[in-house]
Amino acid sequence: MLTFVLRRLGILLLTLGLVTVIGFLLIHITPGDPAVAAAGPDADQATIAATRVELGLDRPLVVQFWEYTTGLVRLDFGTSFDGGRPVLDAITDRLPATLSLVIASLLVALLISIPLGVGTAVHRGSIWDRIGVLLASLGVALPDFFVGLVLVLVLALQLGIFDATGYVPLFDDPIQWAYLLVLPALTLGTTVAAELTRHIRASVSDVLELDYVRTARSKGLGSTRVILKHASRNAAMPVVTVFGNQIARLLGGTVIVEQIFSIPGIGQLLVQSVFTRDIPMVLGIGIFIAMIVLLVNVLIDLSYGWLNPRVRA
Amino acid sequence: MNVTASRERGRGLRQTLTRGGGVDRFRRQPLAVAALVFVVVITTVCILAPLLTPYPFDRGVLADTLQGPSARHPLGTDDVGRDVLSRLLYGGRTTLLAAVQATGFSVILGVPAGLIAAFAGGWVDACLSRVADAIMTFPALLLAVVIIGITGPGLTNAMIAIGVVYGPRLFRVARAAGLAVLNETYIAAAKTVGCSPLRILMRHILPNALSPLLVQVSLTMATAVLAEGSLSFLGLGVQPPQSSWGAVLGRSVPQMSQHPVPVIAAGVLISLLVLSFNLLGDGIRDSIGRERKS
Repeated sequence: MLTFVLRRLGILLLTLGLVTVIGFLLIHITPGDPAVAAAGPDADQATIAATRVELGLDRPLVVQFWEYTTGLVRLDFGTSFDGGRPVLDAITDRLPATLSLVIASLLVALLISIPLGVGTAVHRGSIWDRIGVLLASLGVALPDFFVGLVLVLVLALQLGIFDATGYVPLFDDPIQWAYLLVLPALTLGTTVAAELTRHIRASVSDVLELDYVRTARSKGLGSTRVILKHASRNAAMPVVTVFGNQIARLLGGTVIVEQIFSIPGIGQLLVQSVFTRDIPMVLGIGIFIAMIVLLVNVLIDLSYGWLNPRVRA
Repeated sequence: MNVTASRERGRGLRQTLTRGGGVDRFRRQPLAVAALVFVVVITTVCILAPLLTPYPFDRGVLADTLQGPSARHPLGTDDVGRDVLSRLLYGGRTTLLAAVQATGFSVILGVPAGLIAAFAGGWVDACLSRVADAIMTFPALLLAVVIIGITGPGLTNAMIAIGVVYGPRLFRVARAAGLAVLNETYIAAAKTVGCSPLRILMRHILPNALSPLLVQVSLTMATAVLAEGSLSFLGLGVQPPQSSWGAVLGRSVPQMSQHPVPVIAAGVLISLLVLSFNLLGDGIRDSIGRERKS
């Protein structure tokens, strides 16, 4: 087990290193001088040159890369071009909002996809199955921004049930926090739910055809008990594997959803930084998200090894 | 390359597509056929946009801003008085072209690398696979936004970003398809008679990889349309006055409560196109697999 964990962690560090190298090289290979971006739109040549020296952009690439990565090890993500604020501070400020959104969306996704996926698998071939599958295909194709805007249009602007936009921190007002998160979480949750439903349906219907399930049924166990006690464990394994992709997808989706509902999260910060060409911030957010995604993936790999001892070898 | 060689390869590819009555099987799937028809119709209509609409996409009549649907403007006008239907027709060209660019880029990036990884094996395979894994763990849209943040906004940058993000998927498919046939006797035979690695790749491995690649290309088109929509919606893709479906949608959001028609029209078009490419991919997978699906 220990070697399994260590190997996973090794791969994590390697991947993280690769992401950093790719991101860092992109800045310096692509057209557009970071110093020009940092100095601002009205800067003259002298200011740009001064900024370049000030930020250390005149030094060899290898030196810059070394400083950046050793900084990362000390959890120093560099400083923003915009006001010189540490990148990590800005990110942790925005983290609670994004985390609220991601967790709420995940909840919505599971609440929709588990009943729908299991239900369609159990009643395979029925009219409900067909409708469920059609809904799932539709859900996969619907863009996040369109779902969000339609929800705002119908539930907020026409019916007035919800507020269209806004965010309140959890500890300021828990009720308002939950109330304002309903629409964003529905938006982000439905597209992920669609994808999960397809996987759960496929996985459950595979397991239901196995011999031991038939044995359980022929012993006279009710179908609810068979599904809950016998099928769910084994059916969960393939679904857990795609869970990592879905977490990544949720994090990606926050960029759009935070923009629509004006939630002050990391996604919104990223889009703002792209417009102000705040390159350290953009790169910092990229690496931070990569860290989270990789960590989630390692946890999933570990849980997979824990669920099924054969994987550990 | 001489004419005979290219004609030979053409026949190889065509045989792969039609082997075992794949076209017939495709024809028997109503959803896939409907999807194909939709893609063809939308493409044709968008190409013919200048003939179909009397309005330009980039100039409006300021007296006619934010009108609702009417006989003159079936989908109304936008905030600077441009006809929304015309913007959508011209915008469809940008959206489709962008999706083709992104998909093409990921094919160029992914397929040769995948075939080389399968063929070379060893550390070359290990290195390429690690890079692909690294890119794939990352949320696609976020990576695209980060790449645009570094290179600056614009549709070409956006599509290169999308191409980079989806390259690993094609890499994986090409690699898997390559590995699947690598140990077949006819590959060993080709080596024995002295075929060059390039010839083996082009003549023997690529045709076998073609059907899974075609499926992946169709699915990548779907995600590229989605990504173009998202990026242009954020204002990071197409720059004004250029039009695209995502741009039309993003621009209409501030006036959405009074004028919902453009938002809904653009959103429905994007969703239908994405759905069509997905269904098309599924349809191809079910019809040109090596063995018939049960």
